[in-house]
Amino acid sequence: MSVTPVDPAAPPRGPGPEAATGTSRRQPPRLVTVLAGVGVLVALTGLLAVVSPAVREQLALSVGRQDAPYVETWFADTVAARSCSPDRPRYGAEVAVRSHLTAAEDVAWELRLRPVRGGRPVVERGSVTVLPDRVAVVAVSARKPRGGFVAEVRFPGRDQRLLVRCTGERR
Amino acid sequence: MTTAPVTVVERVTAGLVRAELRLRGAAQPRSGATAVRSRPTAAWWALLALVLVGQVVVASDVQVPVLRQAVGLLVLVLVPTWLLCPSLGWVQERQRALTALGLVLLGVVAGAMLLDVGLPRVGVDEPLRAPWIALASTVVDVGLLVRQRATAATWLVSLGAAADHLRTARVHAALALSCTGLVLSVLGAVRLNNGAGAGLTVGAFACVVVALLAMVVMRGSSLRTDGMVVFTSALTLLLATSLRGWYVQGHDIQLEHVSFLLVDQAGRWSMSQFDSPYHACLAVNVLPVVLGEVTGLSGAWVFKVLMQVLFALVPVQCYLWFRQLLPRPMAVLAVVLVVAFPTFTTDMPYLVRQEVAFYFFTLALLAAHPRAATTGGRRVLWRTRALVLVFLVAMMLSHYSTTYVVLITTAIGGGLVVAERLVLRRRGQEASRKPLVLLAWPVVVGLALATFVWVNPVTGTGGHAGDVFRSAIASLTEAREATESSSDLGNVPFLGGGPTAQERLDDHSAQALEQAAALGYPDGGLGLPDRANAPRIDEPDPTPLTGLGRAAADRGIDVPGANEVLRSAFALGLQLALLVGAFFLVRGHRLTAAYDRERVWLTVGGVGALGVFAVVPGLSVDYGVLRVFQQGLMVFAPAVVLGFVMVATPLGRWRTPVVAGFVMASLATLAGFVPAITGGVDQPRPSYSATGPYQELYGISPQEVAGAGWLRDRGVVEDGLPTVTREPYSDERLSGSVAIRENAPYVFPSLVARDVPTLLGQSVVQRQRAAVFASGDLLFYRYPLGAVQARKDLVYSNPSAVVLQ
Repeated sequence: MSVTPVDPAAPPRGPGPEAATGTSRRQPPRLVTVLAGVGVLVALTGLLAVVSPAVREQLALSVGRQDAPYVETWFADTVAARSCSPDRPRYGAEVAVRSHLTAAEDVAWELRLRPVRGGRPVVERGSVTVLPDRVAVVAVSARKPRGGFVAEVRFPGRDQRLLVRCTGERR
Repeated sequence: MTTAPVTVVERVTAGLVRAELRLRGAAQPRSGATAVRSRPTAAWWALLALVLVGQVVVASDVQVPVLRQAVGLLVLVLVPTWLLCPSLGWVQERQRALTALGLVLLGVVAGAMLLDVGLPRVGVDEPLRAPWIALASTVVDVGLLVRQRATAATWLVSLGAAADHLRTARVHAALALSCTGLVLSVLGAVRLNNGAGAGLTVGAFACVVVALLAMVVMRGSSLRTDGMVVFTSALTLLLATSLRGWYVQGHDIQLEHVSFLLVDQAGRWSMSQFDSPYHACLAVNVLPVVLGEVTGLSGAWVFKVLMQVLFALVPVQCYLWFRQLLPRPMAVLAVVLVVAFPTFTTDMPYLVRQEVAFYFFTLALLAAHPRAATTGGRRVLWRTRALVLVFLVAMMLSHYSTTYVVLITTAIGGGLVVAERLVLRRRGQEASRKPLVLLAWPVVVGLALATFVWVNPVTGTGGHAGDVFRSAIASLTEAREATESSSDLGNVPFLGGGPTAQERLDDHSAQALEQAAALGYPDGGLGLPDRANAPRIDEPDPTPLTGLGRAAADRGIDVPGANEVLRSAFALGLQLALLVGAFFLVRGHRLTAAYDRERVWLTVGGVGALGVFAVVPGLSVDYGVLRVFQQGLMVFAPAVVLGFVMVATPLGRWRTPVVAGFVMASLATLAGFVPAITGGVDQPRPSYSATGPYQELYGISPQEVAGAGWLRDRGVVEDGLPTVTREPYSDERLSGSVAIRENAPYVFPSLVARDVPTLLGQSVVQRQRAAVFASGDLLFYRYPLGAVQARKDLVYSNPSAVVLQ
């Protein structure tokens, strides 16, 4: 295989611009040889994957889908959660948690009722155990502060939350 | 004593030939090929049986991975393509197989439309289903088998020859590199989808650059090898982009996928399914539906893989067309320009309809072979014209904006041919009597008529073109707002850049407020934007510098600035070279000896069409200038290379390395290799970045799909589908993955309604950045998430999506 640089503007050889290019002097390797080399490479990689977890992990990242684990959270009964139960001393809501995690895990929650006129929020905490691909429902509740408040359910360690306004405004 | 190895294929072939001869009582033949007779042979019957078995596999929807796909493509595409080749003896041999493939694919679309029209009349409600397609395909296959008995009877001999060829084939370094790049690009895209680094993709880009450079400097490769290097290099670049994301994502392709889903779910095509010009582009619904039914692949696989494989043939066809005009090294550089142009990797994988249109367009260019007009006689001339027209009509059925550019190009080119002949006659000089092919009036008028019939009486989508035309005329004749032009024009140095991003956003905000008033807002809305929340442009930060980028920065180099300067330099270089090349083409030069006047004026017509789109503001908004340039390169890339060569002529013996170096450097820069290895890029391409604004705005995460699914189950239902908000910049972003309806009200702050659930996706949730498509441009702005959340409850949440109510 020659590697002589050629003039891109050089006139074509042969009868016209579509003239076939010349034959090479040194033959490139045969396809079967190259395929055999590729086979050896693949086999070596497979062998490395068997003995090395790091290689196995990198291979997994390269050949298949690896979704990041996460959870979905929502008010199981949106209407009830937003109604704010004006006649009851405690605010309560049911929170659903769907797991996209790889194993059973405790998901911590924190209910925070923040008065709209200022003051200390009322906080309740707990956790719920969730199984992969299952939905768990947990009832969260806390004593209502005076006046209107904002009810917020946080999930410590996870950047997500649920929130309703119990401020008496028309929705 | 050693004996020559005998393959299984050869044994079977010999056995079948002997069996046939026994049946006929004929003498032993000298070779398998000479056993061919016009009457069906045993080999013919064997092929017929295999085809029928294959069609049964397709019709009965056998789901065996790989086997089903292979069998489906074999019986629908490959067998008819092979059998059609002998009928195209008047086509240049080197392009015969590609021509046959193009005709078969057009036949697939036309056949599907016949089924779509005919079968409902006999009570079949879903004609575009595998059994009916297999039945029609069987009729075609058997018809071709009967017609091409002689060829069909040699299939085992051909297989044996192919096996022999593979056994003795040699692998050129360029091909080995491009194939390595192909593997790396697939693995690299998967890694990026999993949030890992872009190392493999960068390696894939490097392989492509070196492979094409090797192709330029090496001799000794055959046209077939050259074609394979070009094909695998192009496919490497395309898959690196198209395989990003686990869903069908990206601008335009989302809406194309929705069009596909509507046809796929209904099992038939009808314009009443989707009131959009997209639906009239059969390349995004009928063709992929048939391919999906026959191969058993989902729409995502068809769009992200099969259609990219088809489009990767475009550079190959360009290469063959350029080889009709230029010496090999110049043709290689010209095809490098086609794949190097940014639109090839950033736009095309997301514009399947245009990919298919370009596929047929380049087939038409290829079919209009200069020799057809001179050496074949009138019969071949008219056959060639008919073939060109057929491919142009196929292009029109795929995407008619591409067709409008071709019509402008051919109108300008044809007009110049006529003008030149008139001028020469007036001067008493001999005008060329060579008959035209591509610019012949029957071809141009035939295309125009077919376009008119398709967009008006058949699909009723001509209104859009009329609107664009009227808008373009109005923008020329009236004092229009300066914002009505694409910022693509910023890449055209002679035409300036237009208004700033903030001016465009302010203009859009004003229009949104007017729209809000028309919708009855702000009573039902959120009262946004207020003064504190007026949308402000929020340009994304550049990507962090890589080690190489930091090393360059340590030496005082402004890496982002240098990247921009390089990009602008290549853009300017391309345009200057185009003008210089077009000048020398018209004037004539020894390097343009293979050009006839038709191709000269076709090239000038391409430049003229580009000029029309650059100068008329409304056109550049509707159809980006860069896309016109990409289409133009398929016609005038040889002129660009010629321009480079002419400009570099004073460099003497340095001309060669300078021209080749410039073109390869443009590939490395414009195709994204240099920005990927340095970092410091404002808008990194999804092909080499797991993050970045494009990925934020068009990427679809599993969490967003989960959020949309939650809303689908509980949201407000309208016309049978749950309704969620959508953003104008990404129409139907999620509805291709979840059965939801994404319609008004919008997410733009002034258009958020109080009473409708609002789904906010990952870009807003994670970075508080959104975008709108305004005045032909994508504008990033800071999203007032806090202000919106302060007015609505947050009822659903995951790391990438929230639902406000």
